[in-house]
Amino acid sequence: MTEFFQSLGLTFEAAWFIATIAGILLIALPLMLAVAMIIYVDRKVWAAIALRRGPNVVGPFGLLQSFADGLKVFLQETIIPSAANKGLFLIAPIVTFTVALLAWAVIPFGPEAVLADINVGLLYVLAISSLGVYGVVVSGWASNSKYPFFSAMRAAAQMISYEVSIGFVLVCVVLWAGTFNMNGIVLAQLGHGFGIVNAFAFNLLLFPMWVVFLISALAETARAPFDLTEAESELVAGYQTEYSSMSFALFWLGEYANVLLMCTLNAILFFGGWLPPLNIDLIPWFDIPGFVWLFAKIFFFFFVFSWIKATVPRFRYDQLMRLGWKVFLPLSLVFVVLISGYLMATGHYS
Amino acid sequence: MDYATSLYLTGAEIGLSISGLVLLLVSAWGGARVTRLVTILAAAALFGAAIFTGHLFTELSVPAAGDAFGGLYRADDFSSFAKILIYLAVIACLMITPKYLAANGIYRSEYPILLLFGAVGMSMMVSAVDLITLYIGLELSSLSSYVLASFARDDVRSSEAGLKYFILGALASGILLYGMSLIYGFAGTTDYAAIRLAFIGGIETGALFGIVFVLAGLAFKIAAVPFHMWTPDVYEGAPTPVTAFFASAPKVAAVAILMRIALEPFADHVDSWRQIVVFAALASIVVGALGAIGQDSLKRLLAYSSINNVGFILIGLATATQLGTSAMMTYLVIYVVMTLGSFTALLMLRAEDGRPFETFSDIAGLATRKPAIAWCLLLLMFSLAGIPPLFGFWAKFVVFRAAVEADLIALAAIGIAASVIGAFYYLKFVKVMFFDEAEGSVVKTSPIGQWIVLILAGIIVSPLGYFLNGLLDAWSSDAAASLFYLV
Amino acid sequence: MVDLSQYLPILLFLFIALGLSVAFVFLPMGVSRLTGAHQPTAEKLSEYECGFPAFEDSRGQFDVRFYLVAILFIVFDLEAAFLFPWAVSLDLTGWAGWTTMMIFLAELAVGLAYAWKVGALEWE
Repeated sequence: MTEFFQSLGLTFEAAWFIATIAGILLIALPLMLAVAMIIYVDRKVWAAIALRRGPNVVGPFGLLQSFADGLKVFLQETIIPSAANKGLFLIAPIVTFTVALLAWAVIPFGPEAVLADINVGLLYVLAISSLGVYGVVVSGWASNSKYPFFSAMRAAAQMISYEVSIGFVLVCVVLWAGTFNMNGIVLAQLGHGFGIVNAFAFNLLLFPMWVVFLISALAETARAPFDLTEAESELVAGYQTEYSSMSFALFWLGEYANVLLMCTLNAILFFGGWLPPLNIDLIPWFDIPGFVWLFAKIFFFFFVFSWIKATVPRFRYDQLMRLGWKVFLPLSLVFVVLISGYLMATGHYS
Repeated sequence: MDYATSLYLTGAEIGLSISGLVLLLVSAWGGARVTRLVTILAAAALFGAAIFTGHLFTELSVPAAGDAFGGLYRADDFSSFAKILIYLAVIACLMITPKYLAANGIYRSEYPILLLFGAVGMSMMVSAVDLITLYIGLELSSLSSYVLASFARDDVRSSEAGLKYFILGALASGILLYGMSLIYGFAGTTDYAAIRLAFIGGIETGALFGIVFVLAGLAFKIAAVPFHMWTPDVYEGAPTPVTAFFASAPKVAAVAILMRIALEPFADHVDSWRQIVVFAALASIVVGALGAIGQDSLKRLLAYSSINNVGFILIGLATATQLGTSAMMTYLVIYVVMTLGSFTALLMLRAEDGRPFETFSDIAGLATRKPAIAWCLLLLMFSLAGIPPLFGFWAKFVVFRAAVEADLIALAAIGIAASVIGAFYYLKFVKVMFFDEAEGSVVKTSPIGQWIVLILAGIIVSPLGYFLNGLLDAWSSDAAASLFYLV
Repeated sequence: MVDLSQYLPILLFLFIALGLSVAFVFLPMGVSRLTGAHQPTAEKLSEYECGFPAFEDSRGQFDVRFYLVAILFIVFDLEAAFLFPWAVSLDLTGWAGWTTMMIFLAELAVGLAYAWKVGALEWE
């Protein structure tokens, strides 16, 4: 893009700056749009599974429902409880939303279409997404109210518990790819499964790790069946109980942006990212732009997430902790040993 | 890199680590039944490590040393000497402990395991010739200590001691790390020998700050004034066997790393750090002596006594000579024996209802009620005071001799004067035991392990200890020589 | 050498994302004052407790197990952080690096086994 702006007669610095800003907006604004649409999709999927109609009033097929909701919350009054810590109370949604946006900076949408092609991309995503817990804890604390506080404690414990196994799963992927660069990881999957499938998930050693990652992603984003942080029968609306207006909506937006991020990570780490599914050029797969494949994969995983939410009953908290600490953690540890041992023994690195 | 040599040189630590991990699993699966077994096995592991280190001590030709893992770790006579002392002190702590903890219902198998890991950390410390190794060892031993201080978790004072120790210890570690990062920033390396080379032409102000911070952090760990404030509280609050441990082994390790860091990387800049050490030494001696006078609690008194003793040890460091270093090693040995002996005696004194003796009024007239313990305490207190026929005098003598030979006559003179003040409260101890009216309940019988430690300590500090002199002198000067080998 | 200029877009992104979120939080506050939706009352501003006045301070005691989880998290997340550089440099460190890390993992496995056995992972 920089070249394009340079061709308009700008200096390199100015062109680079404008191109970067444009790139950022090209990520941030469509992302917010995607979040709005994906909320609609989510509701439609649950409705379909529950044999209901779902949103169908605003716009054709109810497509504009999320925008109507957005406009509504935007015009609402922002209530700051008198007992709350006002500064922290307002900072919490800012942190949540900023962090949710920021993680997208290193996601590759195509071979060249990545905003910041840093060599530790995956580590960056892990670091940024683990900052999300601050928004939750701060909101629960600043509300100075019981339900948000309990919910924040639960959420923090849950998120960090599953982050541990996610960390080990990422190590497994990195062991195989040999790099932290997101594009490098995508390219390492070219023809990885049986020589024809462009995905790590079809590797017998990595498949269990993908399952662990998928479930941990659900828990990390507090999606059903791990939505204990806002189990409405116990905790009202969780840590967002005291929030209203756009501050409340920011938690929603952040949450869905994180869900989309987890779907994207599933696609990038285990299903070949922007690569076509098969490494065969029968029909011109490779001529289709990369982002089409990536978006298709993201959408597929989001459908899976919705499907799970609509069908699986909620976990109990002790079951959740047991699954994280007593099943996933030992399992992923064992696979780090197995995979690194296998790669060493087969001379993968020499 | 030759892994076999590295593993051989670190054999003691590896053996202790593996036994610690195995015992941890044993304790988790065995529960309360195996506590005694775990204690015995831990002592056995420490004994084995001590034997192995003794073997290294005689094996490595003086004063050559063996570097392991690419210069992160060094096994020389200095580290072997300190390690053997640490291991034996920890074994003594293990011997005197079970009865006390069992009486308080907190005898759990984690206790010996924590001591074991503490011992691993301390031996890493004394062998460290790299700032990173030093820090890892220091933290391993400190973390064990924090948990040990609050081992009686249902006791408010013990919990408070643990928390206080942890918070202040973390602060000290932060200061230490800050100093290390400054040194690393100016030297560009964490390796002692390389730091020395980097500063050969002179030392920048920033690096000087680094040295000051490192010394301050270590001064906290050895409880030297002005970083001593935690000592009385922690010593009083922690369970008595843990206090005995705090006053012995970790102090040896911390003094040893202080010596190594002062005399290896910064050997060319003695003048930069000497005044700090001199100040800490004098302040510790004076504060330790004066602070103890008003104390009624025996554990607090012994805490101040340990501060006082650290001051005398630091006089040896201030000389920065081989003789001074050797004197410090001798002093450390005698100090550990005296401290362990006095705390053991304190442990053995319990009222019939199980209440431990804690104040002067408890021990009044002890000579008529429990003469054996009273006489041993008499020996130990006179020895701590440095009264001539006892072995404690020799410890002070060698330190002052080194100071005089290094032309630090004023320092030696003030030290001697202050030790006279210190003698006051040691003598008060004796006076209360022998001349005050007996009152209160009778003392219970004590387990054999405590008797062994007390009597051994009594024998060593008695004039009979001078028979050890030849050996002790030879070993101390070997250890000191290996520190100065590279000079 | 690391190309630090690749991080500049992230910094710009941070500013833009911060700006967006700040705008989203504070704009509605202004708008609601303009439209007259902003009408705080004492009832509205009290904390939510199912319609009752709050019984007690919400920042009371909570279960110590949350601390335990936090401590375990630190241990294992640091372990993962230690694994990351190891994972990308196995081609350089070879079998020596692999063996060393396996020893480290075994030590942590012992820790996990201990925590498991003494019940630190139980939530009942």
